[in-house]
Amino acid sequence: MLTKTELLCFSKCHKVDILFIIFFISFSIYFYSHVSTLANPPRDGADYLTNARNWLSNDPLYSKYRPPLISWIIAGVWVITGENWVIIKYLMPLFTLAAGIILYMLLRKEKGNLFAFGVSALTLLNPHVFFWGEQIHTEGLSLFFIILTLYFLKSKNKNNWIWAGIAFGLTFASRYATLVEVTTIFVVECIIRKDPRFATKTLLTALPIILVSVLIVYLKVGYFMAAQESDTHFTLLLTPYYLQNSLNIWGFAILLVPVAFLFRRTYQEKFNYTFIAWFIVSLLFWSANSNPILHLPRYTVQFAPAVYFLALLAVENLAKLYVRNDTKKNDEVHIE
Amino acid sequence: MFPMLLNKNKIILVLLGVAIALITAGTVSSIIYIETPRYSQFYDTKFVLAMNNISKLVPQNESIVASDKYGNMAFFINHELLIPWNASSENSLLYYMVKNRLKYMLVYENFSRVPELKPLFSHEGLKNLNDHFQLIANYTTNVHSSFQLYRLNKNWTFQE
Repeated sequence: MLTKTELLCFSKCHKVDILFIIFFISFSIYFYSHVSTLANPPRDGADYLTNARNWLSNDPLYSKYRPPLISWIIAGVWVITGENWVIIKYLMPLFTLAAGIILYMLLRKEKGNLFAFGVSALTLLNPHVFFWGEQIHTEGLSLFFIILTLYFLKSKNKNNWIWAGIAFGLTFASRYATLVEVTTIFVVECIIRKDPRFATKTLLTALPIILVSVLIVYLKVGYFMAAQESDTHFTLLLTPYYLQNSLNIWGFAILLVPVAFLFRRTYQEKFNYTFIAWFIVSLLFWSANSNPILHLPRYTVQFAPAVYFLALLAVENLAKLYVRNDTKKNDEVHIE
Repeated sequence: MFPMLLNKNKIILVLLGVAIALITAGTVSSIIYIETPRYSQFYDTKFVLAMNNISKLVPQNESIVASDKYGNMAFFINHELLIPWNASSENSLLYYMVKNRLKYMLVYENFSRVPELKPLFSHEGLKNLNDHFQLIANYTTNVHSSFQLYRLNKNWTFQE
């Protein structure tokens, strides 16, 4: 039986968790109200659906450069339910929602409930995460696997290398371009952890999954192509597209990101390094693509959590600075 | 001191509430802005119905010559869609179809993968399509121009 004090403490500790649950349920209802209005899959989504059909019927793939995991998931569901795109329409957004929950769990341990709530809520409420996350697209799926990889890499449990490796490999299979982001996260986490055995084991788990994904596609298609030729040109002359459209893409929160870099505290906490690297490398990678058709807000979905993490970090640093100054003032008053 | 803190907390709470309300309002309006009109084809309720009907009108195992094809057409039409890459005029298109024993043609009005056939598959061009093609069905959706299904005139018979 819990005492009154324990109950009070419990309710205080879990107040934010309860708030997050309420937010999450309300958000999910709103999210799925939008999903229900979708009458067609997007063009890319139709490609994944057709590829899933081709995997099942053993026909040549309709779209050969598409990542295979989403089509394998669809094919797996269709083995049980029969071919029906509406089931997939309701299934895929679950990955976006799951990404929000894992992000909350990941940040809650290190940064506290309120911080975790802020980052998760801002990520889920980002219009591009919301819109592309509800589609039969790889955005939600790969966001889920990136965050899952990070979750296991940040885990203090030394046996989680297997899950980290599996999630790492599946991130690649869910969307080839995310290899850049997930590798960045992996490298930084390895540096922070200073545990070569964990790093090696994770890599030895991830690599076979990546190789098997490539091999299966190679055997089916006859060659492996990670992207259309026109999409693979990079330049050192970075496009200002993402900076020019930053307010439209991330909202006013983006204005706080540079503020986060002004505080020494940002660089003192090792936990922040991964998010800093994730944000910088992703932004540089997508800005370096020379094809203007590929300058799209939806490519920012995969690093939206890093942006909101840095924005909240700025708020946290400002709040700590304010409290410190306030305490100083009070101390001075007492001395007088 | 204590009442002052209480006021501060209240102010922070109010600010947080305002921030959440602003972010939510911003998200809702942004989503509406993204959804329409840029991606209005995702909400086109007539498209799947049109594609299903076209599938039903063409006998199974018959391939269809298509002016254009993209993921959605390929997924919802249960027939192989063939782009007549080597055709450059109405006559060469007819020749391609007869040579390959293809009886059906689906035109996505104003859209052609083969640049030379673009005038033929335009609204005006389709009006002047010769007697060898017989219009079977015409579907207009909420977003797309129109999908027209043609069959080669019955005078054309293929030896089995």
